[in-house]
Amino acid sequence: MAKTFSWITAGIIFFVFLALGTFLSIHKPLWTDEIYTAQAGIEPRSYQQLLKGELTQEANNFPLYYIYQKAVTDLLGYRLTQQWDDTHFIYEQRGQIILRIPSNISVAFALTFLILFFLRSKDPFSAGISSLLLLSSYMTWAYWPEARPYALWYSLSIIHGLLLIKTLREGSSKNILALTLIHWLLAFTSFVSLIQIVLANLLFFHVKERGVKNFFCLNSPLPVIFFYASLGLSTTARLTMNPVGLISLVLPLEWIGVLILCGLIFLWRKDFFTRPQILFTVFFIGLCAGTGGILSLAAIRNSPPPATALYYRHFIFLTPYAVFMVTLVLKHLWQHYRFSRWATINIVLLISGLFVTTALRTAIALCENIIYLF
Amino acid sequence: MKITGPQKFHTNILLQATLSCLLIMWIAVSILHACRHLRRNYPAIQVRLLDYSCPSFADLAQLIKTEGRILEKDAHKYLIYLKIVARAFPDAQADTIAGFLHAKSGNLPAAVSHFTRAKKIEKDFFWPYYNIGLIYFRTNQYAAAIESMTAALALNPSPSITVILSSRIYMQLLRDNGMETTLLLMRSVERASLHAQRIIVASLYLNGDLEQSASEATSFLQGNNSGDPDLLYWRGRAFFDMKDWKSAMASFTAIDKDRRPSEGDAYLAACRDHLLAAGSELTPPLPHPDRSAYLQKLKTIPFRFF
Repeated sequence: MAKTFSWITAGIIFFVFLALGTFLSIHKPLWTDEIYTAQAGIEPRSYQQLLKGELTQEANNFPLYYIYQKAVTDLLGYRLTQQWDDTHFIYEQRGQIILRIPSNISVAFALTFLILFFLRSKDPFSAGISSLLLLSSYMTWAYWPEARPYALWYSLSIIHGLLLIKTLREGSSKNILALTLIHWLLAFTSFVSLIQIVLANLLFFHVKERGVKNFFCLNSPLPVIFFYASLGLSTTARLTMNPVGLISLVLPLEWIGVLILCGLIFLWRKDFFTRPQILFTVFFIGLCAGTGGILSLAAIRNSPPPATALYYRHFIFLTPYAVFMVTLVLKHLWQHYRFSRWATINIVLLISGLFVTTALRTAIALCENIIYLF
Repeated sequence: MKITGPQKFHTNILLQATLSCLLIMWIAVSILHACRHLRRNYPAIQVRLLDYSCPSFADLAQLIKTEGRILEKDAHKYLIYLKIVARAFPDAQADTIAGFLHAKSGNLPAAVSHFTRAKKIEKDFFWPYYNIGLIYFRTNQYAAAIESMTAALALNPSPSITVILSSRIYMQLLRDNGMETTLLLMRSVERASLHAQRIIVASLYLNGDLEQSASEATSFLQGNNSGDPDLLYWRGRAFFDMKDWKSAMASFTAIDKDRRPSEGDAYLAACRDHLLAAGSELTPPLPHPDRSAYLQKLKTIPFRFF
C-alpha cells in the first residue's frame, strides 16, 4: 500500500514539474544556439554519426543528449521549419515544446527523484530545503527549458550527488551499481564530467564495499570520455566574463557564505560533522578546485577566438552539489540546535534569508538576461 | 561552572538576539537592494527586452500582402512583442496593431478588447475607433458601428497618421518592404486620398527617396490639398535633408502656426541657422526621436513589479 502511494506521489510530482517545464518552454522562444544545435547539428546526422562523435562543430561532441533529442523529434516526426534569420529568437511554439522535451523530462525526473529520495529516507527537512534551493537557483530556471545538453547534465549531477551521499553513508553494491550507471551516462554527456567521475572514484576507497571489482566498475566509463575527447575536444579556451561574476551565478554568494560558516564550525569542533559529510565536503572542494583550475588555465592562456568561450553554463554541474552541501550544513545545524528556541528562530531566519536572497538574485538575472518573454 | 562550546551558543541570549537582528537586517537589506536595483535598471531592462523580442516585420508584411486571414500561430510573435510594448508603457498604437492582428486571425472579441483599450489610452487616436466600427459592421451590429464611425469621423486623423508614420514598427515595415507594403497598408485602411497622399510622401521620405518625396508633395500641394500641414512638413523634411535650406524653410513656414508640430519649429530654427551661417556645412543638432528620448519616456513610468 505504502509502495503504491509512493509511486502515485512520484507520478504526481513528476507531472507537476513536467507541466511547469512545458509552461516555461512556451514562454521561452528558441534562441540561436538551440536552433543551431537542432538544425546544423542533430538533423543532418544519423544516430551512428552522433554516436561516433562526429558532431564536431559543437563545443561538445559527447552524444547522449543529441541522440536523446533526435529520438524524440523522430518519434514525434518534428523538424524545425523556420530558418534562423539573424534574429535573437525564433517563436515556434511546437518547436519550443518538442525540442525541449528531453531537457524537460530530465529535470522533472531529477527533481522528483530528489524529493522522493529524501522523503524515503524520512528526511522531509532536506527534501524541502534542497528543492527550495534548487528552485531558487538561476541555473535551474535558465537551463531547464533549453534544447541543449545542460539540463541533462544538471539532472544527472543531481542524481549523482544523491547516490554519492547514499553510497558514502551506506556502502552497498547496489548503490555502487547505480552510481556506475550514472557515471556511464555522465561519460556520454560532457567532458567536464571527468572531474565528477574521478573525484567520486577517489572517495570510493572510503566505502565499505570497496574492492577490485567495484573499483573497475566505477572507473569503466573513463575510456568513453577519453575517446570522445580525442575526437574533437578543443584544447584552448577563453573567458567571456569576470570569473567571480561567472561563478556567482552557479554558486550564489549566500551559499558560499553558509559553506564558509560550516568550515568555521568544523574548525571549532572537529566532531561536529559525520564521516560521510566530511567526505562529501572533500568531494565538493575537489569540484570547486577543478572548476578553479579550468578557469585559471583559461584566464592565463586566454586564447583568442575560435577558442571555446567559457560561460557559466559550462559549470552548471556545481549547482546541485552546492545545494546538497548547503542542505547538509543546514540540516546539521537544525539537528544540533532545534531544542533551543532562539537558535531555531535563527536557523529559520537563515533558511528564509538564503531562499529569499537567492530567489531575488535569480529573478534579477532572469530579467536582465531576458530568458523568458512573459 | 564554565560554559563552553555549543552550550555557550545555546545559552547566550545576547549573542542569539544579535544574530537574529543581523539575519533580519540581511534579509531586509537584500530585498531593498533588489528593489533598488530593479527600480534603477527597469527602463534599461525594458528597452533591452523590447529590442530582443522585436520580431522581423518582413514576415508581417508578407502576411499583410496576403490580405486574407492570418493564422493565429503566425500572429503569435507579434502579439507577444506588442504585449511587452504595452506592458512597458500604455501605448494605443501597440494595442491597435494587436487588435488588427487579432481581427485578421478571426479573433474578433480579442480585437475589440484591444481597440477598446487603445481608445481608453489615447482618446484622440483615430484608428481604434475606425477599426472597431469596421468590426461592428462585419458582425452586423450597425448601431454600434455607426456610433464608432461617427466618433472616428469627429476626430482629426492627421495626428494618428503622424504617430504611425514615426513609429518604429512602421519604419521597419518600410525598410523591409518599401512602397509596396505602404500601398497595401493604404488599401487596408481604406482612407480618402488626402491620407493616401500623406502616406506616400512620408513613405518616400522614410525610404530615403528624398527628391521624389519632395516632388510628389509639391504636386499634391498644387492640387486640392494646398496648405495641408502633413504634406508641407514631409516636403520640408525632404528639402532639409537635401540641404535645400530655403525651400525647406518655405515649406515649414507655410504650415499654419497652430497646426505646426513642435519638430517643425525646431527644423525651422535649424534652417534659419543654416541660412545665417551661409556656406557652413555643419548641421545643427536635430530634435530627432532617439533612444534617449525613448528612455526618458520610460523613466516617467512608475516602477512596478512584473
